[in-house]
Amino acid sequence: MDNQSLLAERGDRITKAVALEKTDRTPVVLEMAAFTARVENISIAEWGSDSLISAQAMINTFEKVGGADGVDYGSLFPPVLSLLWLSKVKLAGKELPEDSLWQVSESELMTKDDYDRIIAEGYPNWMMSFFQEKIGADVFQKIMAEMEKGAKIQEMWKNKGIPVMQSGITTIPFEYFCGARSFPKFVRDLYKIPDKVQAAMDAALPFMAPQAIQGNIALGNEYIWVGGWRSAGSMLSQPLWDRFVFPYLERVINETIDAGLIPILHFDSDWTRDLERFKVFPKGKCILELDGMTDIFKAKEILGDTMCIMGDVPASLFTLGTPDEVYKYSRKLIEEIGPKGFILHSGCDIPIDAKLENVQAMVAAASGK
Amino acid sequence: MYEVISNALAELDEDIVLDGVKDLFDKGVPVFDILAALQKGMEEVGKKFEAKEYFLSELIMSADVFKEATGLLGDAFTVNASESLGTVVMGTVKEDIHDIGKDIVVTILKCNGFNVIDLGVDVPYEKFIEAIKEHNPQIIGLSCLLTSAFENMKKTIIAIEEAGLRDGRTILIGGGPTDQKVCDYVRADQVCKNAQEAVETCKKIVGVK
Repeated sequence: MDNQSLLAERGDRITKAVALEKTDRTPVVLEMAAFTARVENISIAEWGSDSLISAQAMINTFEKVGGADGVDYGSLFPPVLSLLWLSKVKLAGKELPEDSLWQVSESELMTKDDYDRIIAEGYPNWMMSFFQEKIGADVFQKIMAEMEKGAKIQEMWKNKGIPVMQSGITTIPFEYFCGARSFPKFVRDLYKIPDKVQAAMDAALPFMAPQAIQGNIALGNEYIWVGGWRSAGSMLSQPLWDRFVFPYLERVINETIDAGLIPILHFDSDWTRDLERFKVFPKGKCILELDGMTDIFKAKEILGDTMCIMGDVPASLFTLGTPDEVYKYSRKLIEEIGPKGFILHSGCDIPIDAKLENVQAMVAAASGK
Repeated sequence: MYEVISNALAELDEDIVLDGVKDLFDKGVPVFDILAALQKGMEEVGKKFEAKEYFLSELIMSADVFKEATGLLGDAFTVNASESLGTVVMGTVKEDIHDIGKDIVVTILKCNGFNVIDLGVDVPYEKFIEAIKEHNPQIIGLSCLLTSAFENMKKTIIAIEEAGLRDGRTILIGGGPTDQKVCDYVRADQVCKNAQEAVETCKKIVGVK
């Protein structure tokens, strides 16, 4: 089969799973970053220095794994994480040794006064000045320059017949503020100055999704990540979640659906308590991607008729388990959550020190090869 | 009044807690008794957490109110704090700089009456050894967020064993990717899934019901 036919076949398999339709077999999608540097024997510093290098390492690794149907993203430039967390990111070869994994350094970069600034100046103006002052104008420029490579990277994957699901992430104001304030400080704000936080969130909300939507559409993607990590129910009491999380998520998710994209709800941590709330979204229009903390079997029970579920082979199984253990857990997922409306996937990304044979065992559980 | 303070802390009502503590302290009530009331409030918070009425956000807030309240007691609190339930040496292992989860556990343990020696993040093996020798803890807590730190978690435990410091102590692990499989691999005694579980586990270890 030529690569264009392969691209269509793989893409169609994923599309059908999302639409909760019957597929010839369970699709399997790889979310991988630093793991591909290890497989390709490149230092993390080199891998993270250029999106084209990380993209090539990912493509090579995808082929070494064999048999998967697509990837979540086709490259990664680690400094981009500072845009998502509004935090500094420590990098290999700079603040960290040459071959160390990048790490988000969460600290209180944003102060309580910044809520007033967001309300007064508008989110985009505030964000630009905050980023340049607290994280660095040079970091921002580098990220923008790397983004220019997006179209070329899409072509690299297409030519190999591999679907890239998305290239741009959106999230809710909660995640940005929480990253920039640091979690404990932000929780105090939610209790002590809730009205001000909410006013700043309301000011920021209209600017959350549009840019990421446009970016994904421009690159020909059909999907978009909607991220949630600190806004999980396990982190917050019900009243806080009802006020500061769900209304914002609902708006962002609906905006992505209205734009014709399929949101991948990339939810880290434990969302089990609030799964019921996600029944409001239209049938077959979202993917719920879980990292192993949320009860994926409960998710199937509650949301199996509403959205496709993707997950959740645990990081520890990839690094410390055997191929047999990975295969058995993957089969359990396919049998209990599939056959319809399920995409086999790691819990969050495949960890840096995963064993290649364990990733192959996950794919084999779906492909039967 | 003790009950008012305990209940107010359990309900996260900061003003009532602070007014109550100030009132008792001004009247010369022994700090030990005020602390007992505050810790009873923290126990109630823990129960609400286990009942899924409270979540991590409320653990953080309760610790914040506790800290404000004990701040009113000044030096008297520091003197009494030495009568702790037990000593815990805790840190994020070498080559991992994540501190949020570890810091929350440290704070919640302190509020529940433990003496916690916080070694920070990216902690070399030797620093754990030195701290164990100096503070003689019953419990050692190791945290990580990166799967690539599992090796250093294991090596930290081996270093503790080789220094002859493991016997008679319990080694707990925690952090995002840790689970029973990781616990077995690094040869720790137990994995704690969240801050409240860490408190309950530590209490059990030192024999507090």
